Amino acid sequence: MIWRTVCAVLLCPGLLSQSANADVLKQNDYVQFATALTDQVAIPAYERFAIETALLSETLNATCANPTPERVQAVYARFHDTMDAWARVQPIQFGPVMDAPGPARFQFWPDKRGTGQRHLRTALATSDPTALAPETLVEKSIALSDLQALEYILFDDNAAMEEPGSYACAFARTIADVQKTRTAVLLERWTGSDGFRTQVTNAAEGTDAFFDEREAASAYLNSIIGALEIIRLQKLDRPLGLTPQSARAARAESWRSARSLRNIALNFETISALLMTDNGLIALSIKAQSSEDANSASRLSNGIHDALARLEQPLTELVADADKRPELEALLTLFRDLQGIIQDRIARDIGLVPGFNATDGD
Amino acid sequence: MQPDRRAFLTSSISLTLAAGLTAPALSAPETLATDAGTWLGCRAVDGSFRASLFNNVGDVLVDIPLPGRGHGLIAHPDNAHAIAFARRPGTFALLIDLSAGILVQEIQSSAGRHFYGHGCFSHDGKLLYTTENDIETGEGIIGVRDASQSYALIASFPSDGIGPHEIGLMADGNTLAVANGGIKTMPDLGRAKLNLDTMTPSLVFMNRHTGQIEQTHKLAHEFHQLSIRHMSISSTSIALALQYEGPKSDHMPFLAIYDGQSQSLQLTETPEPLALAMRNYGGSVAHDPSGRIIGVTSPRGNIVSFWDAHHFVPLETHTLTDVCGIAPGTRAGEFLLTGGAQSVLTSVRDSQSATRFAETQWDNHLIRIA
Repeated sequence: MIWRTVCAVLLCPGLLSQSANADVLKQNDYVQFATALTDQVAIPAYERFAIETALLSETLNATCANPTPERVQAVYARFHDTMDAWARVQPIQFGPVMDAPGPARFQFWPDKRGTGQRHLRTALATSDPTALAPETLVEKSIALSDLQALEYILFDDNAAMEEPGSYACAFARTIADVQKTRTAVLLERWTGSDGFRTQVTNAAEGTDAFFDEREAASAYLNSIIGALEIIRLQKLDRPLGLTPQSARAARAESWRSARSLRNIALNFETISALLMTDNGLIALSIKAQSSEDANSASRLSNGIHDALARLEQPLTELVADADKRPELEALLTLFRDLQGIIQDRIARDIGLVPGFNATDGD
Repeated sequence: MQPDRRAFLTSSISLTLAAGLTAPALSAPETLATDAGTWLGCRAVDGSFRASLFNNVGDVLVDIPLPGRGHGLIAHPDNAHAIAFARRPGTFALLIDLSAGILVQEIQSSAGRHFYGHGCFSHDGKLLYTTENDIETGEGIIGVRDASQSYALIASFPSDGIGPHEIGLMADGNTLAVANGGIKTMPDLGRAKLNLDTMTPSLVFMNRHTGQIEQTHKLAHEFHQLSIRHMSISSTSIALALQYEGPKSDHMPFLAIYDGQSQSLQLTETPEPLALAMRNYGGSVAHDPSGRIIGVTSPRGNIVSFWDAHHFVPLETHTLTDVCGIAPGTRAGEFLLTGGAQSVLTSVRDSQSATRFAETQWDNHLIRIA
């Protein structure tokens, strides 16, 4: 059998097609878009991440010497603040965070093969001394120095942190020290002289990172699309499974610290900011005279925000609860619809269709 | 958009129903003119992935669902079968019967390995060679698989480099040409590139029987960030498509030539505006049926660049959104290109015939099935 999908047509050389709407946009519109997202969303998020890891490191250094219940409690609070900051930068998927070995140096997740846990158990069981100094820890698997490892140490055995001079506390402190350095470097690579900020804002002239301003704008657009896809596929779909029986709570991100949904909400806070901020994606879409798609995206964003606010139990419980799963399914649908509007319509409206092959890098 | 499990389940059900309603099984249509040409490419269709045999008037003759996104394809020497490989770091390679339009076998990479997306057959079709990664060590491997044993892995040869990508068999039938891309990746770290500062791509010639490295060609150090990834072998030379990993303010060649006579690897002289238009990125490469013209695609530049295959000078460029797939056309000077939802039959100078496929995003590579 043959599926004859369309008739052949004759075309002349010069096939590159763009939506008529995109022609309205000028070079400066893309520059303003990329600059606004950099200055109003990306850099503040990286600044916050660097501050939180510094505070976490300070708190852990004070705690390990004398782990009073108050100090240990403060460590847990600082861990959550750090994870909040990480969840806010997670949607930005280009630039210095992609430098080798990539975002896994901050959070080694998903760990589908259990690599991180295997390394951690060995280090904890043998009280590996090389995990207790930043200079030796960074030489080991990055699954031992990331925030996922820190979560394991803090939450797998809650009592371990309270023993004076404990190995667990010293290990946690070392991870925090490494993270403090890594996040400071990350921020410096954005904001330092000739840093990535300059690469983005000067993209129209061509920089080491971007051929032109459209490529810089595309980096943000692709980040938004990519972040929505990760929320859908990795953060919701994998733990949900197809039935309550096949749900896998331990596939949820940050399940040990019971903050899986909080991570998603904070990811979405950043995605919303990339959409809604002055000169953000919605504004660019309106400039391209596609208010209808912009309104649809805004409506879906509000819907996601409300749906997330209504979910009160941890994700690990919701996925196994037959009565609550429809709410997660509905949330997943909203995320899918929002990604669809942005990827299939707004991208075309603003003349930045993400190429299936162009973004592949293969 | 990649489907989540719920969406995939729904589409699988509808596919099953459609198949049930449209029995008998797919077969090559008698209406297909033999000189019209057929090509095999991987594509995404409404969120699912397939390997599809098609002609350029929009007929899809064979449509095989893939477990994930596909990448390279090779024809079996019998021309009745082909293999579609998973995109790296995938673990599947599907053997397809093109006459019957059915999946024959799913070949899996062995434990601790993944495929890099390409392979080639021995001329007699008895052995399959696959580019693979040893996940633990990051060492490039050429896997040797025996067709008579359901493509069981019977030998593994070091590729003498990191990230072997496309592989081809030279006309002598004994020598494998391997493009070691040079980029280290680990599945646990996604597609993060781990060694851009030290990467050393190479073109390696290997004895296919013993795995012995017969020649290794590297680029001068200043070009060490030009990843050698794809190749098209002609009777006199090998055209190699390059992808630059360094600063975008540099203007770099995207085509290198291994000249069989001088046995040397040379970068082409590439005008700066062309390098810029191509975005320092060769996505795929092919010769036309006469072997006189080379085409290199750049999905990042939405452009294809044609070159004289004897004098290695650029001829013309054509634009096509997200173009990456390129294969010989049916006549001298002709190519088939795929990009986005379109396939375009084109010659270097003449008009082009374009066909749009519903809900389709054509993937990186394309081969002609004679």
